[in-house]
Amino acid sequence: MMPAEKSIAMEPLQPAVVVGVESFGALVEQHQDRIYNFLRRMGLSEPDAEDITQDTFVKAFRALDRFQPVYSFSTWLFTIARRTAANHFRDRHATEELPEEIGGEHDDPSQALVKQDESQRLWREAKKLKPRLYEVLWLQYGEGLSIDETARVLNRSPLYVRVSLHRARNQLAKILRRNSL
Amino acid sequence: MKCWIVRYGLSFHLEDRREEPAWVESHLRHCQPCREYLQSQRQLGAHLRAQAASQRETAPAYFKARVLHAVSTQEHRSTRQLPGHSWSYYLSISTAAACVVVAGCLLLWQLPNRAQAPQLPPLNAAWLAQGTNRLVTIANLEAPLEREMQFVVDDAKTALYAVADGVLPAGIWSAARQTDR
Ligand SMILES: [Zn+2]
Repeated sequence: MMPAEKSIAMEPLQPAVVVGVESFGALVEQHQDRIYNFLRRMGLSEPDAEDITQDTFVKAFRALDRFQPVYSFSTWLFTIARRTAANHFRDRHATEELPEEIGGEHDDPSQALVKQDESQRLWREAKKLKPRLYEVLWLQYGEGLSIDETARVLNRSPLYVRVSLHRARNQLAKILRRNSL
Repeated sequence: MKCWIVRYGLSFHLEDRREEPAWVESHLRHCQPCREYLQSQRQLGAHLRAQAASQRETAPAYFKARVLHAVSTQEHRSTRQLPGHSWSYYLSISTAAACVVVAGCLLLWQLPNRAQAPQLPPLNAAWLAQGTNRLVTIANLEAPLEREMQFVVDDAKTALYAVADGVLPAGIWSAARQTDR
């Protein structure tokens, strides 16, 4: 089981070849949408997601010499993005967790009125899970990270990820069953 | 074997895509509900992966340029801002160094003239004698090297102050000038 190798193979441009701001631009182009979308999925507003995505790349650029390709570059970026977002909201709300508005979109009555495409149903229902379960679910199935990579991003053990995924899937299945009754 | 134990184990290793242990395989052969559970969990994962595409948002079009601007600004600042001292400290150091260089150049330019000092035309001596500055006495024409050196440095400083007063914000040099005089 070598998920990190697979991810590296999927990422043709590695930071080892980055020498300056210009070539760093290629890495930004390659990863900006994933990082931005991850932060949006975690419930950040568009301006917040933009700011934290930018901070993530600035921090990554300054720490490029410390990047060790044990995990993929994108895993490293997710780790920085998540920590940056957590710090941002800890400063703002004095809380360690990502904001509680994460996963709270279903509480918005206007959202409930929007008739969404059936293809969005699963993830819409997944929003009803606890934020930390939704986050694990997204990193695993939305981003396609391995158990080890997800654990790395969350700064938790692989066991924590497995238990969380088990709970997330079972709770989501329960929600889907209840809704179909 | 209890079904919940088997299901926990199944769910735990759902993403590893490996063969189930023999005891799990034998349980699955005899337990229809657990087979259905395994099937439903795998389907749920597959649907989550497939529907993740509907959840993708992209960063704004201008985003790469914005990030690169932030990166280059940070890089520029980090190379310019040395920790511990203010910019005026470095300005003073630079000015002192410039004084030494200018004084050195003037001294080199003066050295050949000094060798010919005894043959100075009378007009020069008369002109100096008429002046009211500190070069007024004839003795000063044969002053020791240190004293002449001091005049050269003073002249260089005065020239620099004049230039600095025109370029830099008002007040910065007044204190330095007062301590010198
Ligand atoms: Zn069973």
